[in-house]
Amino acid sequence: MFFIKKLTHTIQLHPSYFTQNYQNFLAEKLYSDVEGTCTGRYGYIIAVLDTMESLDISKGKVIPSVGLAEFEVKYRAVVFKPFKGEVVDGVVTQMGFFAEVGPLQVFVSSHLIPSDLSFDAARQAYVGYTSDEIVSIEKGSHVRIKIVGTRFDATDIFAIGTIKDDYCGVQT
Amino acid sequence: MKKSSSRGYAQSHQNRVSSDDEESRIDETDGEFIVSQDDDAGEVRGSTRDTRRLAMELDRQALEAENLDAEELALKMTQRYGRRRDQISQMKSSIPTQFTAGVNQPNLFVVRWKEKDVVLQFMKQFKESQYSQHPIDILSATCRDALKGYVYVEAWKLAHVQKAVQNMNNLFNSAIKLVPLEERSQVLTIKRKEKGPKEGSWARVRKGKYAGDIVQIAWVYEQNSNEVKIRCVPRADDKGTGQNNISKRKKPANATVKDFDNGYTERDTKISNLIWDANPTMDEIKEFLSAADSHTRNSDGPATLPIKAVFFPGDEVEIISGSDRGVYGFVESVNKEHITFNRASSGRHQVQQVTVHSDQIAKRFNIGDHVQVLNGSHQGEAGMIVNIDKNKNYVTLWSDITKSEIKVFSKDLKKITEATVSKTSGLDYAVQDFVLNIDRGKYSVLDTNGNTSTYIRDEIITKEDTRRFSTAIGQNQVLLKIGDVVTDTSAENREGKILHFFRKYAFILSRGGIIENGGIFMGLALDKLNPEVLASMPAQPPAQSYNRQTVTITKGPYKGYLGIVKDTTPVLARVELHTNCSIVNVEKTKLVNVDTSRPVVLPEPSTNRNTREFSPAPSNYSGSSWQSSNVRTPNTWNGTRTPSTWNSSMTPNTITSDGTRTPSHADGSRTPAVHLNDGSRTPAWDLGSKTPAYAGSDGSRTPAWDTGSRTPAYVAENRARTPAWEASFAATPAAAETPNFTAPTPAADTPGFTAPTPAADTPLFSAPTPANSGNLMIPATPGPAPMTPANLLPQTPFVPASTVPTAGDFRQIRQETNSNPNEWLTLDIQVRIIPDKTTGTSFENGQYDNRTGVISSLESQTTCIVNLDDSQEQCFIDQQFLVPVPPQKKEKIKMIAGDFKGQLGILVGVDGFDGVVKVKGGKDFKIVNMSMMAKYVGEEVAEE
Repeated sequence: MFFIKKLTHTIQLHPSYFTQNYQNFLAEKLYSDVEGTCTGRYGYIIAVLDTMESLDISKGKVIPSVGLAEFEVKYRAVVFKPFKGEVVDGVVTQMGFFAEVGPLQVFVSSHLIPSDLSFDAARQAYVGYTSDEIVSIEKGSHVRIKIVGTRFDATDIFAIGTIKDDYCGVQT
Repeated sequence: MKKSSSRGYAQSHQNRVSSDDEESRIDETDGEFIVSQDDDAGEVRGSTRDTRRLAMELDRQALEAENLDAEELALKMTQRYGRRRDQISQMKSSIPTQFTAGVNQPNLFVVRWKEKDVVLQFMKQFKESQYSQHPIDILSATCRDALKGYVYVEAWKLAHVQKAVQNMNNLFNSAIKLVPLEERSQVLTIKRKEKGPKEGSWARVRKGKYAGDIVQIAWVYEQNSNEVKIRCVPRADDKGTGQNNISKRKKPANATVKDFDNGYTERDTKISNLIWDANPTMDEIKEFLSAADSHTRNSDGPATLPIKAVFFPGDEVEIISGSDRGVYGFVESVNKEHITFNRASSGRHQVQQVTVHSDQIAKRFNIGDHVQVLNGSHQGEAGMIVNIDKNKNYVTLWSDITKSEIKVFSKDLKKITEATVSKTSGLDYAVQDFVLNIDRGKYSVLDTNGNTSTYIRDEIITKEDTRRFSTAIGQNQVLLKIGDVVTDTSAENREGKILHFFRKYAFILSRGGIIENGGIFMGLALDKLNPEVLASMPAQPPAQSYNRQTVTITKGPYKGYLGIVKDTTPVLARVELHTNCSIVNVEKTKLVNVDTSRPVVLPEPSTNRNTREFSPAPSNYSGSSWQSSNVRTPNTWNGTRTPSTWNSSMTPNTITSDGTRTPSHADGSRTPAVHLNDGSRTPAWDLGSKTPAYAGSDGSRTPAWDTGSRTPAYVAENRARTPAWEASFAATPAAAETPNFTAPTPAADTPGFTAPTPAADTPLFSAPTPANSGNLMIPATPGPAPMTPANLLPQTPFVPASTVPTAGDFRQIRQETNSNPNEWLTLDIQVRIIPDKTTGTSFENGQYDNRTGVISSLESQTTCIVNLDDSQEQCFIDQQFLVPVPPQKKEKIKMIAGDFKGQLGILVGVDGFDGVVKVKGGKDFKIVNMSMMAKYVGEEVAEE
């Protein structure tokens, strides 16, 4: 699920950046530091919503004996955190099978795939035959997955999903 | 006796139902039965038939009494005589369940008769009268096989039972009694059978051909039979036929009935030959099952769980057998095999506790749960559940680390919520041998670049021994040892304990704080710590170790206590108090050495330095102030200061006037020659307050001094920063170019900069040399004599020349050091024009910004002419506006720094910050920091 979250980030700036446009550096640094990162608590930080102008940058404090200045930057960011039971759309990246839901990797075990789909080793795909069409899940397929379990590390999130549920599976 | 007891029994119960065979009649007066067989009443009748019936009944009772075991007898007696007392007990049970009985529930009456018939008759009557005018008001009737002659009737009132019994024709001699409240549940509780052979359970064969094998019980003949039929995987008969012939005669005698079923052998065996606590492993069972013919194989495994699960409070469990199947909750307490759990209630507020045998329950998991394997071959692995089999015995996990599915017993699992750290026991390498995570032969390793990579076991040559005594100099020149608690001041102020040194890298185990990499992070032990360290690391003795000093605590709650310093951190000391042998943490500044009566440590060194730099009055450092301030001892001073610090920040006068300075103080930073002439000062110092070298280059000062309080580096560079500053933060040109804010300092890789650390590994450096330590405190002793160059030289292969404290070559070395990172301009390399990093100003108002060009000629050390790539222009440009263009793979490069400076080569590959370079003329490959090379565009062929 996506949230807009107010977060803070502490940036230490090297003295060589103590110039008039140090805020630029801070903003750049903030973007490069936090965007695309993941915390177990908030999930993936997708994008910082604030621009340089709207960032709330504290006064810098020079750290004794180092010379770096420390700034606390408050910003709003779009975060993505998966939850158990959430239904997400993803793209199959690897057979077995894994799907990517944005930055999140979701594993769908063969146990969690309906039994009418069977793995075809030659095609490297889960293939199922219904009355009028052939359903196949292969690399690049768009699938709808229900997340059944999540694991939060300090820096990563991993989820397993099922496509056994209603309206889950390949999306055409 | 029988008779009288029978009478007593009858008398004691006013309400009794008396019945006979078909002809028996029931006299009823005002709701009371007149008991016909009682002697008192019997005399009234006195018929022979009554006597006969009485005798029959007595016989039956005697027979019954024999059959009753003691417990049942006790039950019966209680039922008989304990009734009144129990009847009035008003135990209120708020949650009526099958486990409790209460007054709110229908009562239970016991009716004595041939059980099953009576129960059936009750049912028949109930059905018949159901829609009649007077339906029977009983609720249920039941009997127990174990309790012969008793029928239990559930009803609200005795009268209802009596009414129901009234029409029964089979009641031989019935007596209706109310079952006491607390016995009610016992009556219908079925005792567990003794543990014995059960079909489908597992056992191990004790002896014989199949000794040790896992077998499954195929058939139990009778409950008390001492033989069972087992099913086992047949073993190939390795005995020859000859042996068979020999035993032929014997065979029929003890031949067991062999049968083959489904790929298994079925045979009879004595129970005594089986071990019931088989505890088969998953593998054994799999093997057993795989012997079955494929078409009958049950992919879900056997229905019975072979091993008892161990439950712990807090486990989520579910009842898997019996009438309460499906009930689940969280284990509250465990009493051997009896598990009490709180039933997970839906809607109810009260918590219902349920106690069951551990056989009846299984751990409950849901798909998606994150669990860890407690034992078995996958022990320690964690993963998320993807599948649970029908019987809830087996669980398929998606392992977090191996990224594969594993199948384990559900009993071996434990739910976990936090990120896991794998168990490491029994492995060749343990976590923290630079190894972050271990999983089944795979080791994830943190290297000195701070990167982690995974290796299989064979790729790791050997475990690096952690040298217990290796040391390094950290910020403020504090001696760091393994085990010290340090703070990484470079980035996030992470704190941790040093695990290991490698060159300048320290591997630090974080305390709390970070979790990634198992809490280990890599700190550059030196260069991030103190700017001066890199540029001028002296071959001085390491900082004084305070350990083993006897100290007095001067402040705080422990004021006045005496103790011995056991260990120190930059701030704290662990002091073992003499009084009670306890170890306390005390700030070092609060300690005073008992022997010298001096404080153990001087105050925050960085502030000292500033003071010194900004206070022009030398008298601050006169002997008197030293003494009066009483904050430092000479040896401490020496230990925590580099000579360069001295030189750069003090005027000669300061030193001259310093009466307390000992020669030994100078040992680390002065040439022996200095000491030859004077006990406390060299003539050189006296004359021009300079060493000869200084004097040689200038009348009274070295060139360095000319710049005020700056080192030559400042001069050479013409910049605001010292080289050391550069080195620790953005030292190399390449690093300066990168937008890294707290740039790692690749320059630190240059020999000049790595200098301090290898020394840390050398034995000479890890401890003060005898000469030093012996004489640190004593002025003008022969102590200095041992400090000959020869003594110092052995260290020098590791320590670059700049750190050799000879005044003679001091200047020259400084320049050399500085030239490394800062004068990188060289011909024929591609450069990019950028704004000056420090000032932010652009070259020619930025019109050339971000354009690339080739250096066509050097005008000075720091200026050059650049031919722009995209136009024919030539620019005369200062190097501060230039950065070398980093080469791509397979491009020609030119070294711009380091040992190979000026050499040409080909960049073969890039690995993080390092590049693999094939140097021209050389056969082998060299690994060079990327910042030390630039893209070469000259004509010269780099490759041969």
